[in-house]
Amino acid sequence: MRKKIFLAFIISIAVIFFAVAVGSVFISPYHTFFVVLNKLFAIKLPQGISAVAVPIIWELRLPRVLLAFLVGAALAVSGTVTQSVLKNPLASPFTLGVSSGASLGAAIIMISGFTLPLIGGFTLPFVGLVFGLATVFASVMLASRMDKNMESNTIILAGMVFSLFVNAILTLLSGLSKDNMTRITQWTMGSFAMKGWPYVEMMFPILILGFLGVMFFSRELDILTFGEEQAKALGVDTKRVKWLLLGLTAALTGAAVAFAGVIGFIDLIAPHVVRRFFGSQHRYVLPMSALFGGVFMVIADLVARTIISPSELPIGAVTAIIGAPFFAYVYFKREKKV
Amino acid sequence: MKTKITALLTAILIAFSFSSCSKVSTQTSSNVSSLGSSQSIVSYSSEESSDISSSSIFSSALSSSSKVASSSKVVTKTSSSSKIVSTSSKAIASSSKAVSSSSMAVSSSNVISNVSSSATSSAIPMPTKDREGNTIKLPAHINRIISASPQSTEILTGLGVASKLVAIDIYSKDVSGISSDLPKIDFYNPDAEKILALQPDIIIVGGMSQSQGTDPFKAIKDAGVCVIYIPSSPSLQGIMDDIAFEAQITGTTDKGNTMISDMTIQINKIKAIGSTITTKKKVYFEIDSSSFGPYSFGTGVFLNEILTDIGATNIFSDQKSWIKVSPEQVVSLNPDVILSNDTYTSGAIGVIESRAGWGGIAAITSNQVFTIDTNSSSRPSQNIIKAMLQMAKAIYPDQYKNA
Repeated sequence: MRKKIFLAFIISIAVIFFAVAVGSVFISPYHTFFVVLNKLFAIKLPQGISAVAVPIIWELRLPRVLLAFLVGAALAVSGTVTQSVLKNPLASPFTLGVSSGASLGAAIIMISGFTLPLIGGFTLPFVGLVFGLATVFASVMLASRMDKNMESNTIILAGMVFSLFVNAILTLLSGLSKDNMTRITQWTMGSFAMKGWPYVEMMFPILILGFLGVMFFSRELDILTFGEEQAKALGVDTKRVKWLLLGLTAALTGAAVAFAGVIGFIDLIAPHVVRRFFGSQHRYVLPMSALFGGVFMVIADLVARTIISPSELPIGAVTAIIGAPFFAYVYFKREKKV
Repeated sequence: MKTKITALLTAILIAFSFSSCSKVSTQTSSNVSSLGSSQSIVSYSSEESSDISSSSIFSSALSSSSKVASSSKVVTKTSSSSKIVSTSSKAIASSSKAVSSSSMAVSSSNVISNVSSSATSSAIPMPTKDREGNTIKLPAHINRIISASPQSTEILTGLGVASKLVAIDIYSKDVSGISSDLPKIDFYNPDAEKILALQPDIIIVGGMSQSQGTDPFKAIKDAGVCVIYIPSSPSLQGIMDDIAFEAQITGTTDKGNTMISDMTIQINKIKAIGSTITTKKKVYFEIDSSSFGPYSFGTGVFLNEILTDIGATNIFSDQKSWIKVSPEQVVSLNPDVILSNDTYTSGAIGVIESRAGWGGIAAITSNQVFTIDTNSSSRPSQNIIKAMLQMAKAIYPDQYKNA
């Protein structure tokens, strides 16, 4: 297990460095390395380095790669937690309405052109986050009203109802405001372009806090996977744990969606892939999901921004296109061996 | 409990049917929108979301340019009077000497007056093909026109036939000289009943209506209305050919020729100055400055031709058609001037100047970031001259001081 984890870390670091070194403008890996060293440790730049290398690496690529990693990690962790809590391999935070809520919030901001004082340019992600959270809480509230025990299926059902309802409002809004429809569609497809350091600085603490929060419940998560009856018998307050964990994942996913748009698939496949390699103990599965999700998103973003350079593809399409075959490969290959 | 479940199921059903039926409408018009009254924004949006539609735009642009030749051939064959017109306009267009252009204008106006006298005396045989190459059968009298394309609305207004318009598309409403009471149609999802009720003689449709891969005006065509396609022209010559075509079908050939010769004079004036500029500035022209962009263009777009005529170089001239741009490419290509025609994004200049990593771009360090009028720079009509002058003055203020 130690070896596997160590290997995973090495691969992740290699992928991140590779993603920073590759882009639509060619900058040699050697120069890339020195730009990063120069910024971090004030090491002198080598002779003959292009003047545009520093802003391209440091202000455009590195924050983009890091943001992709953080967002991917947040989505993957949320996906793992949601699947375990709801004991449903197809559940994801998106099932509970985070994405539809966040999209609706973003659409309202785009249509009204409203800007909150103080946070200015961050109005869109902020409102997206608030709406995403509100939708999840509304659906969990509905579930707890309908079913005192908050059975998993009730939560999923309520979440579906809510997200469909919110989606319908979103479609209505964009239908009424055709000028904004492309923007709304594009926003929902997601992008890491031109986000810069401020987004990384905001996403980082959210991910760390959220991750530590769910790690604290890794034992409860292990027990919950055995079934609710057993969990209750072992003294787990299932209702309270569910509320807390779903709240945490909603915050993580909401922030990810608000910063980068609705990027599907990672939350769904990360837990399955990671469980194949690292078993089902959550103290391993959670950090490894974060790592896998992050690396996967970095690769997907790399493909999105380089394959039709100098143009870019929507990231949401790339995650599904490379994710689905990869998932099938991992799943069926291991199945055969067993 | 049971009633609750039934209520819940009904809610799901309603919500589901709602979202699925609204999905259909999004599909037909999702990449549509945001054209914010500008043709160019529309084209890129479709380019963005699917390659198929982008290639269709491009191929339609290509086909339209290749069809220019054939349509003018039709004209020359069918009438001797319009032969004079087309040859004269060709002569104007091909003359590269700006000095002689004014004398040319005089001679061409002579020709025009000749034509107009013959035009009024006998009915000119009308073109049998539209600007896309579809066979059309024009009605004998054209008194009720629907324009579903903003550039055609501008051209028709320029030709002085705005009074014949019975309906326009929603983006045409800001064209000056257009009555605000005219019914508006959505050129992606036209309301066939409403259009037929207006009893139009012809409907002019722009290239954007077909960008989805299907022809939304087919039902109207099948009902027997003459639908004329005029795709967005990729070049200045194409724009002038569009004007000539619209002038011919509306019986305003002389007015059309005046418009074309006016344009030619202006273009040649600018070209004459542009050709004297030896150290060409590198220009980056942005058509969407919002966080979803940036978008720009390569060759095969009239804006690229304009930049060349002005005496500047488009930094993306090695690309084709409308493109989504990678910010690092812009940093690396280091443009001397940045232009944006995105007036939709508030404070576009500030947005561009404050982008991460862009601070060192020559255009930004020397404050050479300017906005260009959205409508005139994105619609291929006679008003393109306004954008051309604005761009010329922004890039080379000294050289074009008196232009």
